[in-house]
Amino acid sequence: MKELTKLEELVMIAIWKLSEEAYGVEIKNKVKEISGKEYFYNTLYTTFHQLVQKDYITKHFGEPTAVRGGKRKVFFQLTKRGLKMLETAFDRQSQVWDGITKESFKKGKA
Amino acid sequence: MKKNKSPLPRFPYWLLKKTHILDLEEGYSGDIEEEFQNIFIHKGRRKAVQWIWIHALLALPKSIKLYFLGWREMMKNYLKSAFRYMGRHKSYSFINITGLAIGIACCLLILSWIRYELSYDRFHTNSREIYRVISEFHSPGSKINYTATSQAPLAAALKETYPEIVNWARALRWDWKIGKQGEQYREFVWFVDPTFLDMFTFSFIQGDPNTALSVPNSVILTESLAKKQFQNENPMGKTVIGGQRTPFIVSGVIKDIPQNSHLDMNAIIPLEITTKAGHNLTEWEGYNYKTYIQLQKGISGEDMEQKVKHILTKYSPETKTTIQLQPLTKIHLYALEGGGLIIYIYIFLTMAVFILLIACVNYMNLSTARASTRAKEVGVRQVVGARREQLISQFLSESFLLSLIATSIAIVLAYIFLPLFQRLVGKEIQLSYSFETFVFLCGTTALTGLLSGSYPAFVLSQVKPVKILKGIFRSRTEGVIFRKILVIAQFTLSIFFIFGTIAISQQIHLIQNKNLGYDNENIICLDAVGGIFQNYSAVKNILMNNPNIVGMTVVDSFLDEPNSSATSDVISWEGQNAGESIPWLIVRGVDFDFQKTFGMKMAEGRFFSEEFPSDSKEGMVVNEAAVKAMNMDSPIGKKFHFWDYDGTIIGVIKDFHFRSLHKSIEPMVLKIGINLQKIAIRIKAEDIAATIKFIETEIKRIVPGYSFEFEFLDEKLNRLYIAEERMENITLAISFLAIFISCLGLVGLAAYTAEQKTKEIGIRKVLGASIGNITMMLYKDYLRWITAANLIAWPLGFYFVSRWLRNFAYKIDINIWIFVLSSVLVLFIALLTVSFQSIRAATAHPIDSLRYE
Repeated sequence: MKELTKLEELVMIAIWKLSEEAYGVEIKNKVKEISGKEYFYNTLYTTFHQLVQKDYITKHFGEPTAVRGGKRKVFFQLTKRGLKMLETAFDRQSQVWDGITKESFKKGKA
Repeated sequence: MKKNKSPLPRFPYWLLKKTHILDLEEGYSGDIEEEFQNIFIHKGRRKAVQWIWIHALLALPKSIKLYFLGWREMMKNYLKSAFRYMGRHKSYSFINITGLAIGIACCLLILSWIRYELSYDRFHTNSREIYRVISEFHSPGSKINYTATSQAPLAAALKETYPEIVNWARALRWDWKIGKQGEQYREFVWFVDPTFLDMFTFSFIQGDPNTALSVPNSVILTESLAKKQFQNENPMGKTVIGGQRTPFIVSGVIKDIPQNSHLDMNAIIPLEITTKAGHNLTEWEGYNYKTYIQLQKGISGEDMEQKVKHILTKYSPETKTTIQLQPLTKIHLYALEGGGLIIYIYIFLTMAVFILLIACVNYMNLSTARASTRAKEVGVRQVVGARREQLISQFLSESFLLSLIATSIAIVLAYIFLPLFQRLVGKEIQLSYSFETFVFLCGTTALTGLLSGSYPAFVLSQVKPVKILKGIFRSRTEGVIFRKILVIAQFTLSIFFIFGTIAISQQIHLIQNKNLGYDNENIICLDAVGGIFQNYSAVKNILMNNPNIVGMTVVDSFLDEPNSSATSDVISWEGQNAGESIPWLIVRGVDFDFQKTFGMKMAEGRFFSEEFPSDSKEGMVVNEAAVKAMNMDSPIGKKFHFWDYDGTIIGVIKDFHFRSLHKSIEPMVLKIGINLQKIAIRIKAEDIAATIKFIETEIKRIVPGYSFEFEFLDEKLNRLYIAEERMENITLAISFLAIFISCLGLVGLAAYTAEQKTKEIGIRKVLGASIGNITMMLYKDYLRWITAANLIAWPLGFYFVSRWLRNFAYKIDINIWIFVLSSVLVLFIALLTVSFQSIRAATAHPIDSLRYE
């Protein structure tokens, strides 16, 4: 299976954490919160589009609101495949970082 | 109260939206709007606007990329359908592309020619500051006479008076025999002041430009002349003989003068040497020297001209001569009397543009005419969602594609026809690979594409999809009228071109066959150099023994060459009233056999004769024009004075043309023995080769070392009209092309009309119409168009041809038959073109045509 890019991983985690509230603005804030980096909407939406294409997330429409100029929100949700993918990513990460703790950095050796 | 909603700034929002996020678009733009409002509520509008701008600008590169991605996809589709359409309608595409390619190739060649002509004399570093002094001779009741020469001391006098003049130089141009002993050939030799080398730019291969002309006996050769004379030897310091026996030492070798210069020298010699031959460089008499002056940078030539105009009155208060300053770069293009090459440049430029226009018109015509065949495609595109701009850009891209193909073919065509074109214009023109050419090609491609594509694009994009798909599309009436106008315009131009060609060739025919007042055939022209004068009578006695040699005479110059002349201040005659003067008098040196050999007729009195010993001292013969100019009643026996000569008029010779027929006959005086240097021999038409051989061997026997180079007088004369002949050739070629391209368009149009009227023809035939009836019906339109074109072309042609004819002193009358001939010719060609299609349509079996639905 192909690996996720860093941004894809971030976006998927944000969507997962937001669960019901996962739409553009919130995702953007969440990503900023967990990664400390601000992405542009067009970058994020390109990623959304790719994730939808890869069937890691699905989209569904919300109600139109006035503050959005009468446009509907697009909510995203992880698919099973997406969740599995995240899990794989997590496993791989853990494997990579296995045995390394905060202490290791203080001591300067793994 | 603080509003909780703020309008989005349009432009950055629009930019952001351009990043099209496909199906997620709604969420995307909604999110942007939501965040914008959030920032607005919490931080104020300024921050919000700032935020959206930063985002928009940062997203810009991507927007652009996406935009072009979409564009590329559309283009691919447009090109694909364009290629398919071209493939399906081969004859139609062929007509369009051929027409455009020929048009562009024609433009390319003509423009390269114009570029070449405009480049004359511009390679000199000081070309903008150098002027040539022109003398204008005014006299009441007659036109101003101009010469490009002036008096010898003028330049120095000018320089003394006006500090704006930095430098000056005088020059004499001789067609002179020069070369090693026994290997002398005729070359253009310029006698110049040493400053000449500072003013003009020459590249020295050998020798020092500062000292090369400091010794009077030095000579600078061009590279090719040095090669011809000395082959691979070093020419520096070697001796060449100029004229009869003047030795010159080679002091420099320069690169050949580029062809695009009016300085046509093969050798340069210091002007000072001519004082030894009796020239006086400080005398104010005689306008014999080309005078060039160089102004300071930034001084306007026109202002300067106003200052110097009347300078000659300072040196001779009576004079009616003024001077003019002609910029160096205009010498080649503008004739002194007005007109000149520049007229041809304008004419050909216009023609080139017209040819291109005709080709564009073809394209416009055919594609609007065929609009109906494409209507379905347009309808489907519209239904699928193509906007009008998209349709317009589709058709424009199609015409661009076509013009691009045409341009590529045109470049190839231009290369193929370059040698032919070079022969046609008589110049070594090259197609340059310069940036300009590139710009021109891009420009023409774009312009042709735009011009030929805009109307079809406009028309085709306007149709309503429902109508098309229901099958009730019909080209609108405006389209038809527009098309008619275009066809009429094409034929107007064609008729105009043919008209011009006929008129030009008639004029040239007139010139070449005009009775010159003497018989110019079978006259051999020779140079009298290298000791032939000392033995002239011996040579003559021997040659005249040959029965094939009819006559022999010596003259100062041949009939087409510049003559010596006298101006009004040195001419006077018996019975001259105050205020009467001859502005300009040609002085011709002759011998006793002149009239007999050339065959001129006398109007009154007699020609010089050896039986009257006084003739050679004081006898003078004038021409009829001179008698008229002097207003003399009985000229024979009257006293006449010019230069330092006093004499009596013994005869009046009938006017004869001794110069190009651009000019009318000027007053002339003939005198025995002035400045004789050329020999003319009249021979019989039989056995010419043998006679010439005889002349050569006999002269060489008596005068060893004489290099025998001869020319026939009529050939020499014809060379005067080379410009006109070239003009004729080029107009002929362009007219031919114009008609060809117009006819190409006509073929397409005729095929289309016949196709459109298939049903009508079928029904008419069923009802009993004959083939003749139907052909006539199809012809009718074209006949009408061509008649309209005639009505426009005639006055146009008349106007322009009569303007061109003003360049000639002797011109044709514009006859009604030229109009008729050009019209009939075009009509004939057009109907011939149409008839193939028409007759095919008319002879088709009605069943086929009625069943074709």
